[in-house]
Amino acid sequence: MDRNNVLEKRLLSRSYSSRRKIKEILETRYVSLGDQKPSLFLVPTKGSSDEGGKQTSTKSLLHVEKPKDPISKERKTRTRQEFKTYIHETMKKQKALTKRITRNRQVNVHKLLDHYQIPKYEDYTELNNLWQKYMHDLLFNNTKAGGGGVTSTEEDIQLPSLAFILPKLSSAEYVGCMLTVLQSKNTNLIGIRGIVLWDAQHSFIVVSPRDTQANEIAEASKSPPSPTELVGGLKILPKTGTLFAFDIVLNDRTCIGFTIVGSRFELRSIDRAGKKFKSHNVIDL
Amino acid sequence: MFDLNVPWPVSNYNVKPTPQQLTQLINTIATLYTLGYRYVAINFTLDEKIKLPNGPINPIDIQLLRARLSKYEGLKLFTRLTLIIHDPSQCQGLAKLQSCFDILAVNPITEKALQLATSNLDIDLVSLNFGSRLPYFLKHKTVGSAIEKGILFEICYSYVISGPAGYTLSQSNDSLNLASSALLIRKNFFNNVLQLIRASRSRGLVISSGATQPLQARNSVDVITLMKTLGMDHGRAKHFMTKNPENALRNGRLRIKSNKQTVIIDNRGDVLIDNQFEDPLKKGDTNAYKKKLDDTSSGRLLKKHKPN
Repeated sequence: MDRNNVLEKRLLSRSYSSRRKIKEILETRYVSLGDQKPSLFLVPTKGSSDEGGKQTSTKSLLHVEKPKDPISKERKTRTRQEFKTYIHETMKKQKALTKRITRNRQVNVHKLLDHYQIPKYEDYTELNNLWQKYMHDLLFNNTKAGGGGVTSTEEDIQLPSLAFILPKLSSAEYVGCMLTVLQSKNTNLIGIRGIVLWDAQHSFIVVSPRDTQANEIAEASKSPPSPTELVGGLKILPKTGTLFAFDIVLNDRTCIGFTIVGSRFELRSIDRAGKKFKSHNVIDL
Repeated sequence: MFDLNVPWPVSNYNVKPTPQQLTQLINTIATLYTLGYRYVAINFTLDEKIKLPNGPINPIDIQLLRARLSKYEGLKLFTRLTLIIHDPSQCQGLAKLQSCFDILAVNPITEKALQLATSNLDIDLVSLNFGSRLPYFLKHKTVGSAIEKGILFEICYSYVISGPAGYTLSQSNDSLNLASSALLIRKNFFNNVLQLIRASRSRGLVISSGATQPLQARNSVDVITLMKTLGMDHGRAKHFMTKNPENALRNGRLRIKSNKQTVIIDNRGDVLIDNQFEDPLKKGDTNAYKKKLDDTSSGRLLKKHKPN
């Protein structure tokens, strides 16, 4: 069992802001002696307004301990909101750093990356490895040879047919996938790649690598990296009118490529999982 | 430029094309190439009543054609099936055919067939027989809703060029005259195309050659001139040979390569259309798409942080 009581701490952190208090509650929760009586420590998040002097002197089983300090703002924000602000702040920082590099090309980018707290591609490669494993489980688990395909070095693994793979891919999860923009209405985006951090309804948010690896086309043409490419970090890639390429590694030497049609993927991942897709007019692709 | 209709010499499964016919087909494609066409679809016409064989459903030997046309750089060959439909309720085998041909077209004989084909069947093109008088009146509602769905209408210009007799010397005054049957076909063609243009409001049309001989191929200028005589403007006529056939081809290719246009197999080249990597006999086979990690830049990047 988890000795650290992570889950309990999480739950209680919605009700109490001080860590010490939570720890104390967790340590003494089974003690029924002294001043501790069996009680529920969770504080309702809604409708917690004081009901005017109705306090009873005896503590009931469903006794609610009033928080002394008002709930801090930090605790109240929803996870989604917090994620949004994180992305906004990081984008702002990236912009500032790009500006700084443009002004002075001689600056030490590596030091500044830490200073500006810009997410690094290297930290997310593990996420991609996990995703590759997930894809293997999802697609090739049923076939005997494909199941061990992650580590096997034999040249030809027999893959299941397209009719089996593709529907699974269109309802799969893409957080952790390494995407490359193949075609886009916005020509500046073409070639940008990165590991998906968040699959939003209308865009993919990716962490892109730095320097020469940031852009597929720039890598081929061997042009010196631009300031934005030196910074790397988060990139927001809109789905509309964009084709995204990704690869699933089969073994040490082979992989298989797929393409996501962004215009047909404009759904949140939870909605996409259960959706029945239909073919449409292809004019917009 | 696209030409989505070069007929395959035979139209049933029992007969194999003679070497002579094959050479003529290759010559036709070569002529089209020199006229500027890069995407050519070979059309196999089939009546709905013919039973499908147990063997390969696609009789077009695309590998042989590719090998013999290999010196023409940038030429892309596709296969197409045109089903002649009398009664669409009898089209059960369509799902089987879908995975064998790049483009699916229908030639509805009756008005009911047209209506049901455009509303129910998963097809890319409607090819009407313009040589003879259309047996029914084309309604804007039917045609318009089909185009809205992405089903395009095809016009073959070979009817105008290749009348059964062409020019003949008339006996009386030694001057060139058109044979009467060729005249009739021409008259029907213009009548029918005008009807189609009216019904479609000049949207969603595709012009293709239908050329069985090299001499029947025409370049874009000629075709646009022909469309201009029918009252079309230049830009629109150009779209009928470039954008619209591309959409039809995409529609057909995505049916094979993707799951309802969401995720497509393969990410090399022009992913929406290309068919050079797939196995021509088994289009649903995944193994043909495998590639080396070192070939692509993202593959190399993935290899770098791969766990051992």
